[in-house]
Amino acid sequence: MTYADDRSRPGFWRIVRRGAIAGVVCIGAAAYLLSAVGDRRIDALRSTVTDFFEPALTTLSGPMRSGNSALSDVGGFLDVYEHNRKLREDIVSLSKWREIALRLEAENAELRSLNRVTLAPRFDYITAQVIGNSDGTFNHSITINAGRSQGVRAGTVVMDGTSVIGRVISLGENAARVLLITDSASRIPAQLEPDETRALLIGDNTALPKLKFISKPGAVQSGQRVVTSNHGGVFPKGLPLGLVSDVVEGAARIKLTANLRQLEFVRLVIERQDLTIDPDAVLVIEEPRHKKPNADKAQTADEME
Amino acid sequence: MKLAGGQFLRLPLLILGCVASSLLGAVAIGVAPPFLLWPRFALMLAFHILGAASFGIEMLLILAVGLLQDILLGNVIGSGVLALLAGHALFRGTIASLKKSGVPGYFLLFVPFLIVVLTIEWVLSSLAGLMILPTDGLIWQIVVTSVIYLAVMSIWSGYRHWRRSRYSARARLS
Repeated sequence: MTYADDRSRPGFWRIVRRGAIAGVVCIGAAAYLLSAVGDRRIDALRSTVTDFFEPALTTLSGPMRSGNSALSDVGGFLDVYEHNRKLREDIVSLSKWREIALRLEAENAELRSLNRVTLAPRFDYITAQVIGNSDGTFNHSITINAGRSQGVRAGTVVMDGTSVIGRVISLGENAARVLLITDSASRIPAQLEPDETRALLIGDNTALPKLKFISKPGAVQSGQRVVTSNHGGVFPKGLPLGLVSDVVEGAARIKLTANLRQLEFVRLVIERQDLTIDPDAVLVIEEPRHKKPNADKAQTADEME
Repeated sequence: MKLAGGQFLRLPLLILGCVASSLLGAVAIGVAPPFLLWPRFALMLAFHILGAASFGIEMLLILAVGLLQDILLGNVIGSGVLALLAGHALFRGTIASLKKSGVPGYFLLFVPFLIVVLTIEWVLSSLAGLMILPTDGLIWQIVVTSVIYLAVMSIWSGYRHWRRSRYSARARLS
């Protein structure tokens, strides 16, 4: 049966149809208004439905990911020469950084052993699988298969392994929605290293989010590292975001260090509430071994340095 | 006027189709936005359903497709329903008249339907967020979904043609 004009239908069905239209318009408009003002019931509806479809999304995402990775493999095979050349370049530059890292690690270990202070780990991590994503038209978000029952909280920071990619905005029992930092609704307090210039990272649905409200606009340079700052208390301090790629008057564009082209698993950063210093730790201040008379003040100054 | 029983028998199948296409539109493929632009499969199905269903069933389907899409894609809930309602109001008569036309006819009507639905969604999303969303995503979504729709329709039409010719060959032999 196809469409026919309402006038050709019997009275009862005409009323049913008109009632259905009015009902759907009312439901749609009410849902839109409540969603626009951020009503909690709408959030609860979203969480419940996402939770309900979580097994289906997990099952479907497996073959889709396999297909996509097979296509990427074919693409990678075609670019093998270029990849090889890039890898050689990377090895050369990374070997320099390896030396620096080893030196710093040794220095760090030495200082730790001198202090004998053990801090309890500051963060707990949960690994989750990406099971769904927005189509990229109006918003940038992903769905993960971890929720309240795994210890995830609203606002939990999400990383791709090394860098921040977003935060949890909607939470179900076994699934959560993550707003990516490229989304136009995303605002992240950030700071530039090394001088800790404060700024706000604002997403605009592009791959290069903007850095605005920079506290020292003249000090921003291309290639500077951008990390999270804990202003506002949502993000822990010092998590990597990206590098300044382009500086325009009063604003900059950031090239994200997170790899959003290949996002299968994410790491959720849960900040520990019970942060304590290990009770067994003892801060040892070594006694000066050769104390010279009349040189106490100079010795103390040297130690301080 | 009697209601055809097929309408109600077909309803669970249609709802299943709506759910499946909405899930397919939201499933993860290992790439995240902004490097991903995934077609709206649910809109392709909705376009065909709107031309075939009646007696208020199409309203139920609009509600199901619109709400599911909004929830699974993370859009402002309700914007998809209202956009589909507008598309339905503007195109319902024309979609129904396409029954005998081929792939080009469907494609030429699907593109304006898609433009209307997605533009209304863009307006509603911008209003809800109190900011003008970039139009790049909107334009690319129209292009990608149209191209995929054309491909799907061509494959489907080719399959139907092949099946018909196979049956007629069998009939001739028997």
